[in-house]
Amino acid sequence: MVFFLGTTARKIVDGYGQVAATVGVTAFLVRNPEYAALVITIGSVALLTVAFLRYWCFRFRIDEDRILIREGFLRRTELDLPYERIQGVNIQRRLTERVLGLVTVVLDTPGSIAAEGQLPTVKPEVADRLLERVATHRHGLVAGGPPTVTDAPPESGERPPAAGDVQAAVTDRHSFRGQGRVLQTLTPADLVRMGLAHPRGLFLLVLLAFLGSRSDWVKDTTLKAFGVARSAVGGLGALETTLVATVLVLGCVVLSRAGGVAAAFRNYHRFTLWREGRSYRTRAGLMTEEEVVVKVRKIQMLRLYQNLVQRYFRRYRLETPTIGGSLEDDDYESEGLDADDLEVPWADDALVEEMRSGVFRGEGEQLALLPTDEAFKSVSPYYIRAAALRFLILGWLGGLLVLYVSTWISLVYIGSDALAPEDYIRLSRGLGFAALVWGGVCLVTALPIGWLRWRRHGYMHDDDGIVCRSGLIGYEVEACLFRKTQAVTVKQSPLQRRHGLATLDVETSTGSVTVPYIDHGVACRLRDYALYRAESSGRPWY
Amino acid sequence: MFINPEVPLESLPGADNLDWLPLHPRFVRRLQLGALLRVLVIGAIATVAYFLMKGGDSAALGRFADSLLPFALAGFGLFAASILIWPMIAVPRRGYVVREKDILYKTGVLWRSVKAVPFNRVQHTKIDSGLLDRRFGLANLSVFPAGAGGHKIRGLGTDTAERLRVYVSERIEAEAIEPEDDQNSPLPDPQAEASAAHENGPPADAG
Repeated sequence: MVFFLGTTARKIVDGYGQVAATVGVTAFLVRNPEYAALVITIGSVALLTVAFLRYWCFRFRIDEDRILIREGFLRRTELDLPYERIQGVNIQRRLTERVLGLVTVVLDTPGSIAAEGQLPTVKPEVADRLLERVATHRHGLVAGGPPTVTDAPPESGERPPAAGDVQAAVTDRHSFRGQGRVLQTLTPADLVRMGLAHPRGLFLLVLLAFLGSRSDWVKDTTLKAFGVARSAVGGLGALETTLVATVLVLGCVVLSRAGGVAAAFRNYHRFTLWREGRSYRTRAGLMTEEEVVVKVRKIQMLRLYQNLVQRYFRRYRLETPTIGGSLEDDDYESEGLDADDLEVPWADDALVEEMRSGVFRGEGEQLALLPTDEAFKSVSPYYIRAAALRFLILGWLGGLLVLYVSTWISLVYIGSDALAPEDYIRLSRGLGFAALVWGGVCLVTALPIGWLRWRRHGYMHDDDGIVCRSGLIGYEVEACLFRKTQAVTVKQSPLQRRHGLATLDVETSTGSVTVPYIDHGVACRLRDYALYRAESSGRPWY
Repeated sequence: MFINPEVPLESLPGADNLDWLPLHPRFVRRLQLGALLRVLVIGAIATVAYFLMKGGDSAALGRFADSLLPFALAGFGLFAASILIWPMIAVPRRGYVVREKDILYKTGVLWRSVKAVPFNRVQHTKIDSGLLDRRFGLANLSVFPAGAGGHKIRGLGTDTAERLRVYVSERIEAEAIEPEDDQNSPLPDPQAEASAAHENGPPADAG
């Protein structure tokens, strides 16, 4: 009872207390500005005190077989983490830490998404010592453990990573170059290209290309669009206005591209991907350098994306969702840093192949991830009809909604009394015309879009896994192994039932591979097979 | 040693010709009662709104309300009839099958789906029953695999749901994959367990 009272009260205080305090202090300052200096002093002293106390109370000890972390002044917490439970030791360096030559050590443990233990801003030597301890501990385990552990054949493979990997990483930690085989490093030129492919600016780029091909039309539109600006500036001729407009549009494009490039640099500066024993490791980042380590075994599926610009450069974005990364936050208490999914943002064909065979490790040898692969089987052409219909209905409904809302807004804005009957007629005519045009556009584009989608759709499977390709302009490829299946669904719409088709949905713990419009019998057989593989697999899926 | 004999596709157990178990017969009545309550609430709100518009100062608003009335009545009637009749169509088409290794649930009248969840992937199960469910002696069973959407089988008899839950829990225990399963060591070896634990973690948390 007391516990619940306490937690409830704390929730309320956490939620509203901060707001109330901020508002209160602000109000007080507004009323009595002469106390501002005092408040600021008190505030900074309090801040310093709290920071110092937290620093003072943060203690950790690296023991033979465990690490102890004690922190907290009022509410003391003590974390006792045996090395056995540590899955990975990740290292992060924020900008300030890099200036000071320090690192933050994040200890990954199984069972929680949030990294449990964190040693903020410690010297690299401490990190080294910890890594060494963890490594030697593992080493001791492996050496003294039952012979089956070391004798396990590689394909049954769920044994601890060779201690050598970790130790090698330790010895090389100072130079901050990882060990293992380097699979990819990104150069600044790659980053610039990547920035260009950033989806945010893609639309503008397309728009620019379109505008460039219609220069007359550009002049007219920009003249109209910037009529307001012209009247404001006054005196400027049509030529100047066009110039201004072009500069504006160009500026937007350049800005968005620059933003994309900057984002690419921020996230992926000095991006390096390693293969270390049974895990992949990436390190990247301009300000905060971040390392992500993902064990191959934990990877549930592979997702590959390619948009237009990436297609031009023949590059892909590859994601490896793992079980921890995608679970809802509220399922677990997540404090501290989230365990991240590993992402390869700019992979070429060879790297994609390498990652595929590395992640599936001897399984799914006949699967291909590259969207242009010949082995993809197309889905039933009835899919075109369904996709077109869906596009049409969605488009019309969306149009109706926009029409309704805009009518409503304009009526409210103008005021219904101020309108003469002929205005009403003109307004409704205009709206009706717009609706007709939109409906027509939807009608005309529905079939081509359906056809495009159908052409992008494809699937393949072998004895171990299934791959599905989809997309409209770019590509999206999803692949998973049957033995990592969590649930399988076979769905049928009325249209599919009439033609003996079905949609197969193979769900893993991080999303599903959905194959639409394949033969119902094939879907059922695949479902039975996936279930059989999942149910007979003696290997853990996580 | 891990063995994996090849299995011919034809001999795989199919999920096509199964004896689907129906839901509890009282479930239709329970859904209808729920629908009736919803209809009553919506009707009451609509009536109040109508009289508010009618009784307001604006005559135009009143006229508007009057002009809307036949449409509203027709729409409401259609809605009420459909949600009252729908359970009688939908419920017989739902069904579940419990097999040795998995549990299947089918739903849908126009858009049909059959979903299967293997027991060795189930993380936990849940039984819940609302006020109306309890009034009819019904309960809902949910089966959750990791991450993916599981089953929510609504409208089971209370005892059926409980028996199912117990069975599913037993099957989960039986099918649970031991970490490092493929090393045939029947005796629990603390060191092997320790090394397995630091690799895999206990299955219960890892979800």
